[in-house]
Amino acid sequence: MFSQTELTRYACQIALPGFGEAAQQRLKNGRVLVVGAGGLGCPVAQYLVAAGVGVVTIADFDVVSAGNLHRQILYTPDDVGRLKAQMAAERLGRQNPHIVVQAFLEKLVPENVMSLFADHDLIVDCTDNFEARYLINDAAVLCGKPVVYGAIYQYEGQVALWNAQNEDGSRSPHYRDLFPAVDAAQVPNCSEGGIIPALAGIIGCIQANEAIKYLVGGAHSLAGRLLVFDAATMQSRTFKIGAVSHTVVTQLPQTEQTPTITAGQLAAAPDTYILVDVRTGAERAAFHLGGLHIPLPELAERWLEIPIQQPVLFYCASGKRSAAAVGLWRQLRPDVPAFSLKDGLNMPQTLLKPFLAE
Amino acid sequence: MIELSNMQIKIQTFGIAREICGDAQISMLVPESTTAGQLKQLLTEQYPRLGALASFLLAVNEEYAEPHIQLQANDEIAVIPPVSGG
Repeated sequence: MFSQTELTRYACQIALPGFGEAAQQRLKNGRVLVVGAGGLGCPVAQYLVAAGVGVVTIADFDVVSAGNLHRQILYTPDDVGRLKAQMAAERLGRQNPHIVVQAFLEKLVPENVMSLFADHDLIVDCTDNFEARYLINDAAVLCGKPVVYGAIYQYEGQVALWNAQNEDGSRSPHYRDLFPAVDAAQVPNCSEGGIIPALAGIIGCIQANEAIKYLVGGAHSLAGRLLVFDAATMQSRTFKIGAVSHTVVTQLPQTEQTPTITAGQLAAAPDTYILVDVRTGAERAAFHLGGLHIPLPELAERWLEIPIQQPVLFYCASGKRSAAAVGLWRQLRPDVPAFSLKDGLNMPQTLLKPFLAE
Repeated sequence: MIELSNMQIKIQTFGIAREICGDAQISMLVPESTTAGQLKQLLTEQYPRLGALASFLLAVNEEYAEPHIQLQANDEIAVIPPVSGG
């Protein structure tokens, strides 16, 4: 049952043909987990909260950085350095006081993902890296939860509904049916490839719409289809990918921990490591910490340029590309220790000063 | 021995595949009986970085192409790579 305030709030969606109070009640009964509170996660969470989904959990372990603000529209410059999920949950909790908005501040790992998913009916994948996407996909398949997938690159976005239950009890295709495995080092992310900001809003809103349709039991979902949208040409295509998944998942992907060095540790002993900047030339031109410059996509060809008398410390903007570089290095030179600079160049200015003075 | 003639096919590229192949639409000359699986192989030979992705989706006429599907000259073929950004 709804209060008069709630009925007033939701009047315009309850008035939709085929919606009514029954559909609104299904939204209120829904428990949705939004993984990633970035460019996609902001609009997804905003619309799910505004529309009255009963429980919205926002999972993100990352903090707001200044480079996020052009597309992650829940945050202000004052939020830089604060936890995204906490900021988003606080703000959205005020947007709709009739529902529960909560934050999950840990990184999703094989050890916590299953219990977190068990508390939700639907997972929305708004992450920004393949490791998280495969973990979400495999966990969702293992525990039988559908996933609204969204991903963006430059001007282009993809949306699909994975692992939805078909009428005969089978499941719709999932991420591994399309992409069984990916070499993450070969696909640029937002900071390397760039991103047109409103695309995050467009794709996030399509994800929110799919989530709402799923919860209210609407027809014509993106189960069995992949939507590809191009914001440059305004073309959207929907590719049929079959009705049933043929890819069996038997266990969660085992994540390998990347050894990291913090900015503080580096500042305390800067001569200990061979520094290798794996960012693009443009990023390096803006500023750098010195050392060698080998962009990540070139590392497989140019790794012999790196001296091996000292441990190698890879760095990038956030720590993601440098972690991929460590992964590659371990295959090439398992005998030479390599580290990733934790959180990349997202470090306090005071720690950067010794390098900038060079 | 049966002589097989070649056919020109057009392929739309998406995401990083557009950068790897150099254009939003590329043309390839392939034998007439080419299957989707064989085209995938030809593409990774011509564009090794596509192979380096570890997987990409090949669609024919807006539908996921099973490897055995035989291609026709006027098919709408699309190469869709994985995308990670969020």
